[in-house]
Amino acid sequence: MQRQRGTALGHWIFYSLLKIVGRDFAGVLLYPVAFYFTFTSSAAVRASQNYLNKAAAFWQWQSVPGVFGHFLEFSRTLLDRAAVFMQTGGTFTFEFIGESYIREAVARGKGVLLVSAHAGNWEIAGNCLQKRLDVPVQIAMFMHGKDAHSVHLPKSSSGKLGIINLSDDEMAGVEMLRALRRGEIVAMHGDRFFPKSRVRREIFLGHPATFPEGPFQLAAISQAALVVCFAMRTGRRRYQLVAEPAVIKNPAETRAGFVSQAMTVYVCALEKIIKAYPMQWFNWYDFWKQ
Amino acid sequence: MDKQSVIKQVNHILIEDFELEPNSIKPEANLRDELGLDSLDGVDLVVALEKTFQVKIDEIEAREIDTVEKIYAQIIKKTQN
Repeated sequence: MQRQRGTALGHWIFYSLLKIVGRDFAGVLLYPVAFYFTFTSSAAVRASQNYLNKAAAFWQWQSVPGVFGHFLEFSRTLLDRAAVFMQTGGTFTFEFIGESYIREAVARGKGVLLVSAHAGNWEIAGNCLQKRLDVPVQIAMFMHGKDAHSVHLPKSSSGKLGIINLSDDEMAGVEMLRALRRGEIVAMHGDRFFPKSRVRREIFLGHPATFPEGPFQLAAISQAALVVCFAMRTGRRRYQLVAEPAVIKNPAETRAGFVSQAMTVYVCALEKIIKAYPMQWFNWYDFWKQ
Repeated sequence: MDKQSVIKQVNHILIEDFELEPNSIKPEANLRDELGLDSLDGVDLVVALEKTFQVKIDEIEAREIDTVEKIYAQIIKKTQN
């Protein structure tokens, strides 16, 4: 697992500043922050260079501005996420592509597993969807003990948005199963995993990489529809939510066959979206060496 | 449902669905540390128990199940209600 940088105090300052100065002025402050990380966070810089080389064929001479842009984009999405949840950022515009796939999947009544990635701004997608679809959305995420950044989200949001803490214990899967059986949406990432998780190697951006089987196994067990969905930043306060057609296990299909098919769909969709938005995939470690 | 019948059916699930060795299934055996079940196995186990015994196990009850003995106890409690 990747550890987060920053302290509870740092996060408190971040959220307080956002509340006081607003989204736009706080956005200006991101430039020195991104600049600082570009020259001090060597492991993340190497990971970013490695990724940008694979995703966007960046060469060495492009890598410093590329990494700076990558950090800047990451900090912008964090800021937008906080602004949306704290309702301090003014109006955000969302464009939906493939929303009907999610609506149709919800209408089946067997739950929807929305599988996203550390790409774009998936928490914003969850918040937006629960309002548009009038269905509870459970965001499955790792919340570490002092993860003030995550702790702000449930406190600051309202309505039918819940958090399932994957760090809690081995039975978070049962909590997700229950939510799916209630016909709810469970949103989770498909590009990060716990040690000892069931994993599978897939070709990703031309090289073998490891992905967790968990979300896909859960869809098979629960009979929920699996929809690959990303929320990408397309401009100032503008997001595009892109959903792929649902993948549903056929009763005659083996579980292994379904998992393999669903993972291929996911990895292809992930490749497509990060080729379109190469600066918006945020895994700050060598993803191909896991 | 009597205790022996519950034990027999639970053990059958553990052996058939999770490919565990019959002699590894002892009441005190820890599901994760000794029997090697992971979180997805936990979900599978709950689904299998619910289907076999026609009961519903919620998240809180599922969290309490960490040994084979606790599976037996939970199912006996459920089937007697």
